[in-house]
Amino acid sequence: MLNNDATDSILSIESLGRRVEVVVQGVLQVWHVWNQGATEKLILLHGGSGSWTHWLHNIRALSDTREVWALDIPGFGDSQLPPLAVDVDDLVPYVIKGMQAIGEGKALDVVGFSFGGLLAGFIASTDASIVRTLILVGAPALGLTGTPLPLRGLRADMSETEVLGVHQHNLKVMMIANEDMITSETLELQQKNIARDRLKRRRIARSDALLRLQKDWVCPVFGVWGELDALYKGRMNEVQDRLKDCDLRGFTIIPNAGHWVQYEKAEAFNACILEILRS
Amino acid sequence: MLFKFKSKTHSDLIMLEEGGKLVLSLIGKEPQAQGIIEVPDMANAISILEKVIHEHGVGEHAAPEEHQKGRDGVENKFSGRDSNDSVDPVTIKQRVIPFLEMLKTCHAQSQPIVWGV
Repeated sequence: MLNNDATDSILSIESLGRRVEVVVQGVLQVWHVWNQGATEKLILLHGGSGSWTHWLHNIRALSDTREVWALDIPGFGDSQLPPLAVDVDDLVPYVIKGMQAIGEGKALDVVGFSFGGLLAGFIASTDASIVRTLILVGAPALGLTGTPLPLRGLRADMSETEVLGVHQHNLKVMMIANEDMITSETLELQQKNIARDRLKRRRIARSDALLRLQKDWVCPVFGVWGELDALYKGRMNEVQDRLKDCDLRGFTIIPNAGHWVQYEKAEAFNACILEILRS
Repeated sequence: MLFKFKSKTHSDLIMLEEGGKLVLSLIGKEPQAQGIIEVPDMANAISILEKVIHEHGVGEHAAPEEHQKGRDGVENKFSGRDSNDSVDPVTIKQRVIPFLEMLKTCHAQSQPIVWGV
């Protein structure tokens, strides 16, 4: 049974900021902002089947000196799914409009985790003027996809214990390298986020789309990966080489961390991002 | 131009120019850069927007040409779909509902809505 650890953590962080709703083409997208009024703005785009809470342990540190905007990507969390949208490319015009509303004409620093990194890559390719710095975290679509991970599915007739067992398994297989880091809070976050994923048919993440998109990027690019990222098992040394057609300024591997690196090794991750942004 | 609606009892609501102008004009407000919707005016505004939604339903489009404009420059390179096939044109209902929800919340809590301040 869950004990609401995540609910408490979410409320604690959420209460430090503000919830902002942006209506784009009649579709509601939900952002959360912290330290509003700071000079520099930082955009956070979460991973697949996630929400802004993928950054739960990063908000405090990253918003210390910056205005941090974390999106529930359309189709995830509290944001509506655009009509007929089935994959990341369908979300691009919506998120660009949202970022334009937030940035008010200025280019923004963007951190994109996994699916959010792919989305950020599409955005930087579609509208180069809106991204000042692109930081990819465990991004997919680099043509390095191996054998599909043995993830388990949920069934409607599962008991709560069985559901949590599936989340525990999938977190261990894909997201978190050190199983002792999967706590009651982690399971609750996963459960809340999976339940609100309405973009189920996405396929582009398993392609090599970023290899082509990177040729359009004009901003500085940084990569941050967990050393033990399950999506890149045995191929971590190839990731940096795949980003050779963009202005890659730095590539950092966080030791002893899995795919969800910003959760599993939050302190190291936060320090890394802040260092990048200072550079 | 953006319309940033704020109140003490609801999330900030940002609407792009066309959506913001639409909802303000529907409730009889000038879509100026700044303004306020006072609590005593809210019941009537709610009634107007609910009537608009009822009359127009889901299928009637607010401004198909605006929808087309919004998708310009976004080529759907990876899915192979035509970009204009990917998103239904925006309906009046879609545009109005988020603003109506904010109005209802603020009316219930007796808090005015301001924009442009």
